[in-house]
Amino acid sequence: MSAGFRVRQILTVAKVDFRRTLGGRRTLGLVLFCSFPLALALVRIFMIPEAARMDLGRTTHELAQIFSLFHLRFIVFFGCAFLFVKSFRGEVLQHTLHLALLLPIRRRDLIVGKFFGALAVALAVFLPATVALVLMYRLANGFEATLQTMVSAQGLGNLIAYVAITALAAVGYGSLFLLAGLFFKNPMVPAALYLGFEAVAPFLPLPLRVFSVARHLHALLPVPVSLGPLAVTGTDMPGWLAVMLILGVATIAVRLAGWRAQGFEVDYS
Amino acid sequence: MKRSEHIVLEGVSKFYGEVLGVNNVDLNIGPGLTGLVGPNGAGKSTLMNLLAGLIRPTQGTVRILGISPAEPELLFRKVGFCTQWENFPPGATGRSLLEDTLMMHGLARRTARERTGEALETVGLTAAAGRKIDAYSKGMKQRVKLANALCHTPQVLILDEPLNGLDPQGRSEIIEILKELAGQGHHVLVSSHILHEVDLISDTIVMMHGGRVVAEGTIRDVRQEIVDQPVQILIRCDRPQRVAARAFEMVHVVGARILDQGGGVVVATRDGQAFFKALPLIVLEEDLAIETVLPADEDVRAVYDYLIGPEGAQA
Repeated sequence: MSAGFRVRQILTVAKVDFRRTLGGRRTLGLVLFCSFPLALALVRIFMIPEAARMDLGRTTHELAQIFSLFHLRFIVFFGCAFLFVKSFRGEVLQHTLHLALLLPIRRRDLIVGKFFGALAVALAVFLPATVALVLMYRLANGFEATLQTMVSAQGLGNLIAYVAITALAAVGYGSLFLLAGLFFKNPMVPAALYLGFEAVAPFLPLPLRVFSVARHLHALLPVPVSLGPLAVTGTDMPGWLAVMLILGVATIAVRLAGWRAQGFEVDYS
Repeated sequence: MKRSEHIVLEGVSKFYGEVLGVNNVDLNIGPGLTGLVGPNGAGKSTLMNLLAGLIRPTQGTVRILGISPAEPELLFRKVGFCTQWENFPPGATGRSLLEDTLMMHGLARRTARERTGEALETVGLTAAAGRKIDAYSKGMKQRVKLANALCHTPQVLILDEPLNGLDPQGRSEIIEILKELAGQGHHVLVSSHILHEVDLISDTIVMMHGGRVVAEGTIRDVRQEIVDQPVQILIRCDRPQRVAARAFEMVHVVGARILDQGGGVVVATRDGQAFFKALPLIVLEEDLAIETVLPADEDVRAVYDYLIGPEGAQA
């Protein structure tokens, strides 16, 4: 079987999964979930005194914090847990996995296809949410100031950085949750475990910290965010290394998931 | 015929912890229609899932046309499997399900559409193709499952209870399709607990009980191997009482039962060949008008009762 044919099969699996997931009712719930940070941004517009609200530096700093600590670590994190665990384990719960396993495709290719399908949905939902979050925060400074900031090199650069970080977060978290879906029946268990790991990761030995996606993402933030006492653990790695580490973790996780899928048995009981 | 053209199981066992799924199954199934029968819990579905690679054997090997189920990329080019499960992706229509399946087989969208139309027409679902499967009746779901299994024109069809939920007309249509495929040289393995259906469709049977294969072969061959049960022969004639009386003169005849309507007699004998040899003489001497003479227990129901017992037949 040629590599080209396998790639076509993987893309077809991804396309079909993307269409089925995006067309599902649950995705609407995910979109609503993503609007939480936007609601916070809206509240900020009306609740914060005008003088503070119009402070561009303060807005930039608060945006970085809300993006890093809430949007990434909560919305994108649990959103990925929902999407990527569902991509495999969800089919077991729906009793539809056998339909995929009865196709003439290597199981590890099927897993790769499912990963890209869920990733496409994640990007379709989280990237617009990120853009909307940045714009909503900036709007607190008024329309004119927002426009000026967004067309400036720094403002646009920050927006692109936030979007890219969100995409990398989806790749990193997504791959880990996809892997978890092959081992755990309840998606909340791996999500909670990984959240705990991310919390204690700064105190763990370096080899273990490699698997902390949040740590790598933190290193990529365009505006430094203080993590309080955790700041001393240092995230001073170069951006390229952080990107490579996230992609490396994702590759390992998807390969492990493929390996696990090879021997996976369908048991709906 | 080469083993690479058969469905072959060698020493296959599947245990779920300490629970037995199937135990030490050896099978060699050639082309044609093969019925897999047995009571609930006999291991039929486990065996079928092993063939499809949905579960892995604890011991032994499975090969379909020489391909291991661990190689789905090769296996499912040649095999179509209709499972017992009736769940489908939410929102899928009959058409979208089949088109997606065929595109994942590597077909271009246009070809996939054409094949989808053909498969849906084969199972009589063209009119409902655009409706969501969730809204289908049980019978329609069976049909769409069958269409999904045969849309890529596989050489081997494995069907787990494909006639469940179908109305009589639907059953007869599906049976015709299966017979046609078997007639074309395909392997069609069908599990069913409805014995007269298996009789209607199967060239050969595989009978399972307690996770083991208790009989395999044509129904006649299997029946003839059951030597501890007398052969039952039905004779329809004008004076069945005379046939019964003459039959009892033979040492190998162990029973004779006149039918309720009085138009025939069922003779039980330990030597069927001897009885068939003696029957023409009885007919001549008694001047009988014979309508039919045929084996009364060369069917799946009888074989099933002999091998598994009535409690199995009720399952």
